[in-house]
Amino acid sequence: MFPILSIIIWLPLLGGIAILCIPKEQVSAIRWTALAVAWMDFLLAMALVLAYSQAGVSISSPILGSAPNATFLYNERLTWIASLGINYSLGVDGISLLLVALTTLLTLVCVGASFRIDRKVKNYMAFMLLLECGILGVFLSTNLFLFYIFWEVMLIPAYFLVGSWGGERRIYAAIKFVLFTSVGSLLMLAGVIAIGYYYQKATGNGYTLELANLLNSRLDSTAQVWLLLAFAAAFAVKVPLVPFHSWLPDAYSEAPTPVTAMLAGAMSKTGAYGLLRICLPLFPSAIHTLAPLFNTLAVIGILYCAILALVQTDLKRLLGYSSISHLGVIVLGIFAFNTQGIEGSVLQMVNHGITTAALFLIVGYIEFRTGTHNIRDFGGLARRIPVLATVMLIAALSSLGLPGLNSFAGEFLALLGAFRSSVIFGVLGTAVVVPAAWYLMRFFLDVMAGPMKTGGTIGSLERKGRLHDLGLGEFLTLSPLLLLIFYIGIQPAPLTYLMEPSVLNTLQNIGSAFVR
Amino acid sequence: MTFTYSVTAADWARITPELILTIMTLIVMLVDLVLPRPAQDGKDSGPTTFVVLPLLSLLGLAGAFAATIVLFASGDHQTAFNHMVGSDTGSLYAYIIILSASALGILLSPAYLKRLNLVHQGEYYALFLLATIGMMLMASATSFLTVFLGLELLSLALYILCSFVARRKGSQESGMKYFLLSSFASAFLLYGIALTYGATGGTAFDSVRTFLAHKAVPNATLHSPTLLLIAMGLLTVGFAFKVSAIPFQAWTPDVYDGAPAPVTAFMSVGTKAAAMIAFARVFDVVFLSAKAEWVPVVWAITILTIVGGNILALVQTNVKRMLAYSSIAHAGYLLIGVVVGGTVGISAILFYLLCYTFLNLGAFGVVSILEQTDNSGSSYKDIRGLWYRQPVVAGLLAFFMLALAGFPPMAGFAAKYYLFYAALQGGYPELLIIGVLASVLGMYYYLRVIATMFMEQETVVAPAVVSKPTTPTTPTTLTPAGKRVSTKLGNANALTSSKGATAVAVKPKATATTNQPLTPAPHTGEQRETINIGIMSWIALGIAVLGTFAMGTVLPFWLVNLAQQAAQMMLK
Repeated sequence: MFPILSIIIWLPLLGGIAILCIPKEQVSAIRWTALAVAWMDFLLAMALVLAYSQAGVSISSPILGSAPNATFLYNERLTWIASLGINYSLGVDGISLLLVALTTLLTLVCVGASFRIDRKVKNYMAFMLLLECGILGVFLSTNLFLFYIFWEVMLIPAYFLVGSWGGERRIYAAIKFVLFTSVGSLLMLAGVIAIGYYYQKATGNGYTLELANLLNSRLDSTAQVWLLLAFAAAFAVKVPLVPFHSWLPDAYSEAPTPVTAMLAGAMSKTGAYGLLRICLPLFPSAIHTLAPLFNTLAVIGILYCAILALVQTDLKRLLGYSSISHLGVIVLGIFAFNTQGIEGSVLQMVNHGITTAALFLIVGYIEFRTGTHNIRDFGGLARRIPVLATVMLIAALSSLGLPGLNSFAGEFLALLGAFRSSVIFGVLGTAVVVPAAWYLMRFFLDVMAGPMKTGGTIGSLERKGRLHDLGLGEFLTLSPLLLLIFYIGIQPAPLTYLMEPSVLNTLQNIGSAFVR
Repeated sequence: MTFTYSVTAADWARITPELILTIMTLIVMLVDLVLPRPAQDGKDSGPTTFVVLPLLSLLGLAGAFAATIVLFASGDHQTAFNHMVGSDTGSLYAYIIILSASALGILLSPAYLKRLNLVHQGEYYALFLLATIGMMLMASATSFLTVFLGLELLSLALYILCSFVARRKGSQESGMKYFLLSSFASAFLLYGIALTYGATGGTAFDSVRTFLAHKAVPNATLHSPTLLLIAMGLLTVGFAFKVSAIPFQAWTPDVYDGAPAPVTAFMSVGTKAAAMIAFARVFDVVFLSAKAEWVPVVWAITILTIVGGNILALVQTNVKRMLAYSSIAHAGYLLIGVVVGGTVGISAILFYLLCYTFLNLGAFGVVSILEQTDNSGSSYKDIRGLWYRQPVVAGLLAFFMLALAGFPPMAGFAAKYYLFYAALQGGYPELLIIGVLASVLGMYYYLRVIATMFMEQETVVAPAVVSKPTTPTTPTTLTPAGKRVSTKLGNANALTSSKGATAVAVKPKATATTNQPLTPAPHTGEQRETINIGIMSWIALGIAVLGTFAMGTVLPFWLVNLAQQAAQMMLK
């Protein structure tokens, strides 16, 4: 069989290696190669989406008639270390499919937006592609060992990208980021090692880390709680859930904006994906016990970070906190254990990726023009750069959940699910809308509206006529995101169509009595 | 009691790897005498010396390696010389580890010796090979006496090698310190051996084991004779010292720091491998029936070593010292295998050591490239912004740091994974948790090195330089830095004017402070510029990189199985 998943994962890595072979003086060759690789990977992912949507029909036709393991398509499996149950196994289902498509798209956009980077371009582009490779691997692996490998592979390029190309406090941000993530992922490592052991104990079968085998195990419920906590530690840091979030504002604000867009858009989804793919189906009893904990953390995150976002003076930090706040909704939806909640969450993962990436890139454009991302320096830019202002408004409106734009559908579904599962968490979660509208409007108005700033950098740039509007290249880079903001807003059905069988499957694995 | 001592050809065949190396040691010493020397006093090394001696040594190692493979294939696996030396798969696995370490160490040596202008090369390589033989003997010992024999052989050779850089005080200190403390530990070990003999009436592993299995109460409460308890305590001290476990670690950083880097690279892996395998053999095989008595002590040492080693490594400001402390931490991880024991524990040790060989030799190998005669060049201050000066060297060091930190898909991860798996399978979940959490500290200090090299910029473009580009203000000894400034000028101009998102930090003050330590003497500055790593060092680093990758990705399924077979045979 044609190993399409392997190709999608490894193509960026090969591209990265190819880029390292280009002499470093040929900067434009490096940039265009990177972009070409990103395009190729994106097109492959689109081909995968098309193929899956054709293949998916036969599976999804009766709403619940599918076998639990049938959802993973295009499976690839190579035995690796048989005695430890470690295989190189990949597979894609509706949920991972969407996230793969999102990741390849965001890489494309972010590589495009990175053409401005002019220091050590070669290594930068190679790391970008390696980051893509890691994220894709996380979404596509169906063996926990492989999952963990990709999980860590993702971290290395992110560390370098933040630490080497970031702003003034980049080293602090990078090390903080890695330490937070490492604590989580090393606990997950303990979980990975232990889960096979408990599986062995519970079923009497051999040690395995194959997701498909682990699904059918009935682990002892205390063991489940510990395992869940170990795994969730890694995911909670990556999402991030609130007590583990403090790396995020630093990393996001110090990283160069295309990297931030990649981290916020694609990498943060790996955390939510892990909760959905591993924690929910593998530890069904523990997840019910601990669901209130996760819901509480999510709600605290939603409200607390929304309030923090209100008072930020740094545009990137503002968006960082807003991102945490919105990711809380996703977690809330996942832990609602019903179709709406989970579908909404997956949809919102895609939407959040698109919107957040767009917002960060726009801030990057503003920063490139003005050299600052402090909200106090701005004012009245809309007069000089109307197109950029419009684009920014669209992205901000999408982020706050305006009906007709993408985030509305996802957030609505996720919160609906949360309501059906628990009214209190539903109500508290829905409260996100109010501060979100506030800080996002402040974000837009303070920068773009009002009287033109005459003093400071902005004033001097304005007097010199150096404030240029969105260029064609920049617009082209952003356009796929803008297009999707409108398209998903009007027509979210194709996405839900793709994910529905897989979501139902996940729910079946949790064994939750869900209402439809 | 009569002793019948007979030696057969088969006995000699079982120790062919050692024999080949011994012969080659002698040849190396002889060849050194006839090699042409430029100066009259006969001390300087001629150019041929740098090629012939390492190649001869490598030839010997290759021969030993081939002999090991043949022994593997022949499937004899008996002990030789009246149960003195084993040739079981475990020993052969250990040979492969030690021979790889030795070969990589020797490959790293010529460039280092040349750069530091060290003479007496014949002795250097001969001692290197002798230490290798000692390690092999110790790892394959099936008698306490052979353990001691191997230990002394390797230690004596290493004392001299450690103090080989005569012009460096630290090196002298290193050798002396190693000698004094190590002899002390050897005495402990010897005393332990004597008491074991007193308690059990034997020095061969077989006889001691049989004695314990039959005489000591099998349900293993505190019924072993007190003499044996004391013996085990003394042996623990001796071995713990040799594997540099806390609280017997104090010698490690100073010795590793002062010794020439290739020697450090070799001894940090080789000695550890030999001592750890002997440790496992003695405690997990010979003293197996008394496990309940010794486990609490080794367990405590393990935890102390893991936690302490990692914490101490945190505060280091020199890569070489940091690596010394990190090797303590790694010894702690390895001790998990000793505590767990059995097939899974011992195979975890073997596999970890094999992976660790490539990681650590790679890391120290890069240090050997950076190191100067006065032992400078590897402090965090010196490697700041190394990426901008020597991207390949920095990249290699970063690679090995990541591998040591346990990032997949490198070997460090595979090794650690299997070891932690062993901890859980052996029923020590607390060791798994502690090991995992301590690894977080490891992440910090390894990544800090990377941050220093990649993220802190040593060469800072000062506005003053930008304004008058024709007269570089940097001193001439700083040519690599100076070059970068001039080539980057256009770039920097664009950056500062456009105030791009990723502006190079502009701090004239930083230029002064960061560049100062680089110019202690014009001599070293020149050397720094013309670092000639030498083809052999490149080969060594290449092998280390390949090994690190291969052990982590392609080979584990095979090597883990092999290690399991080896462990089973050791336990027989």
